[in-house]
Amino acid sequence: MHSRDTFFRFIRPEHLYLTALSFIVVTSILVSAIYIYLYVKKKRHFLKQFITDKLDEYISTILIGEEILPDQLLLDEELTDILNRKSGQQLAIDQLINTKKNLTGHAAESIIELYEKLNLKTISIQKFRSPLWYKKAKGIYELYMMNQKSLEKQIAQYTNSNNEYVRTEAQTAIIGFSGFHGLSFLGTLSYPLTDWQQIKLLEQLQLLNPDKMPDLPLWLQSTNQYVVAFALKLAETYQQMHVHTEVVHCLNSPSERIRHQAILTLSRIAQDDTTQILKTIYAQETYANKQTILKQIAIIGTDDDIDFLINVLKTETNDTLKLEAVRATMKSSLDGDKIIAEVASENQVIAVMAKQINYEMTK
Amino acid sequence: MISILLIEDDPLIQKTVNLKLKKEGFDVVCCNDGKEGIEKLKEILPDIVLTDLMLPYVSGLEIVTVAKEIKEKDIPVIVFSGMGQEQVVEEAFQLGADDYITKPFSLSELTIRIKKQLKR
Repeated sequence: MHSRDTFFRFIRPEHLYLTALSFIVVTSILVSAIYIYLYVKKKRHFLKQFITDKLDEYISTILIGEEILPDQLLLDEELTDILNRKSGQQLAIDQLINTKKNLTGHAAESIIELYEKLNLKTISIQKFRSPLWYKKAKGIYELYMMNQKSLEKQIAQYTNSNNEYVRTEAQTAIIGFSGFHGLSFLGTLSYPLTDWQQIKLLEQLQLLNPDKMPDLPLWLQSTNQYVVAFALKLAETYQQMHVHTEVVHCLNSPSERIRHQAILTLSRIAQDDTTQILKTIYAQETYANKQTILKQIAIIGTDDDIDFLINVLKTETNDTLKLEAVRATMKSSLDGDKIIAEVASENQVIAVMAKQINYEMTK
Repeated sequence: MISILLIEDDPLIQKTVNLKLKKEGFDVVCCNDGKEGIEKLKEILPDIVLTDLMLPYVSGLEIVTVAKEIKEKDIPVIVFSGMGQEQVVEEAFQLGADDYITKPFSLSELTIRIKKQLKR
């Protein structure tokens, strides 16, 4: 009895009832909210599934035909309703884009025709004209995927947009529309061209027949370091021998990455004096670039480079660089093995390196 | 009627290919994933199998292996591959795949390849 009285002296019964009631109300609201959320989510999922199925059926029927017949564009009530809704329009665009990624030939042409005839192009243009960057980027992507070349000039204006996403979509679109000619945006680009975007563009170009790049020397002298790096990769990939002088000039760049790429590019467009140029810059280069130079000499080197390589072996203190020098010596000359054997007779480390490279070469 | 087992997880591609092949006069059985594909393959012993290489649950490579293990019938297998999947295609050929078609592909090309395999 005593403890009960003490309890109620601090907490009054009506407070307890109020707390219990509040707990029940809050729990009920929470449970109801969760239930409503799950119900709406489920309903949306089924609605989306229904719309997708309906669209799939409609699109697939049209795609297998020789041409889109006018009566096929007369949609039933359900489809009209679906395509009048924003969500339905977006689903239809997504479905068409996804299908176009998988099909070519006549079916791909029908996809574009259907996109235009169902007025979905207008939706993409609206997005493209939106001041919101994410809508603009999506609009550009859709128009490019649906090969809307008539908008090329307008899209090209965004290849130097200050928004990264809009810019990359526009660059991808322009290459898609005009191939190598589309690279002209490099002449005006003042923003970064990320490594990822460079890879994407190179991949995109690889699907096309190589074409001339008359502005490549200008891109190699650009004030935008990203443009220079990309131009070097283009020169390397497409073996643009005529830009040898400009690439050599890039070896003076303050950027280590650009000099690294220039070394790689030079070995792909090598001329008689290329190894001499690489040997000249070797001493002042960073460790990573020294390694790259030795690796490239291993590819393009000749007997004329042996003295330099032997000097590297004798003067370098770093074992990795020594190993590269041994490899370059063995690959640059038919007598490479003998030359290395001579050096190895006085140096146990070089002997071990030669053994390893011999093993690599015979493997 | 010539029966084709089509295993493709993209519903729209599956429907389009299905309709095209039906229009060409084939009897097509569709499956959405590799597990279902293997079950159907053993059940119906189709005249030819078309399978995507990247499938849920069981890969297209396993479908090729199972199809080539069937002793009752020599079932040709054509695989769908994506760009940059050359290594997987090579593996599929080593397992016995008869032909491949790279996405994006044309429906007419696919039909020609199927007919060529069936003529063997």
